[in-house]
Amino acid sequence: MAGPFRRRRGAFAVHLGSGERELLAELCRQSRELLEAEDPSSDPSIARLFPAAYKDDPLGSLEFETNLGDTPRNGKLAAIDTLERTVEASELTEEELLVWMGAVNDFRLLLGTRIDITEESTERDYPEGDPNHDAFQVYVYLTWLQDRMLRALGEPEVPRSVGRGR
Amino acid sequence: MSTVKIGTAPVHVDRPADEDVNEPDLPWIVIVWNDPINLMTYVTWVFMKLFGYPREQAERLMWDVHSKGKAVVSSGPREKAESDVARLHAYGLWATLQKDA
Repeated sequence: MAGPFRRRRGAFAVHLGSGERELLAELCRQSRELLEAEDPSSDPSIARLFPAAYKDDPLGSLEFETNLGDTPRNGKLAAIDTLERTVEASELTEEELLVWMGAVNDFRLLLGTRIDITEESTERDYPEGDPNHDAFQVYVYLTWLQDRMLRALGEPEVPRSVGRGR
Repeated sequence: MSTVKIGTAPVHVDRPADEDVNEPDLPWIVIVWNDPINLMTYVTWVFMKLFGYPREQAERLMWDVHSKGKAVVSSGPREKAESDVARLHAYGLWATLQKDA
């Protein structure tokens, strides 16, 4: 069966239903609201998007955050804008698909943190009637979608000159 | 080591003069920590994308993160380590930096 993203002449054909596209647009709206909140770090799921840079050094982490300023948050907001703008597209450039994947990963981090996902979580932990049942269904869908994006994108090109990386 | 008191503040003397000399040469290391949300395939992909590691190396690091709870994914001067951490955070991975022990 053909996947939702298919490489086609240097771009990617997108086969998603209107319900899936509506869901992505809704997640864009909700995530933007969280990211633009007065004090985003007070929300643990938002805090997960911006981890401390030093494990046992709050001052070092604060300095790191101060140096970066709004750059990390603006980057995530820009990705949400791109996904929202192209959510109805039937074709995406590779760059756009990469941005989609970043936004979808952020949605999974936000949702997964909110509903306390663990490595052992299964649908039995979120049965019908559980307040997080729907959120878990969305989480599972996003996991599937991200997996399809990775398959469509394939391996990143390894630049010969920086192959060592250290 | 002896302590000389000047006024109220204790002052340490005969501190080995070269104690800090080697510190700036110690590399900084970037650690990625395990988390239950990021997909293993995605983490491998990010290591390849960001650091240009070949698949085998990226997968080995991902398995270390998954099974041992963490892995050192890069090292170098502090500025480079901080930049790597910022890039890993942008991709949603949980990364920290510290001086190599």
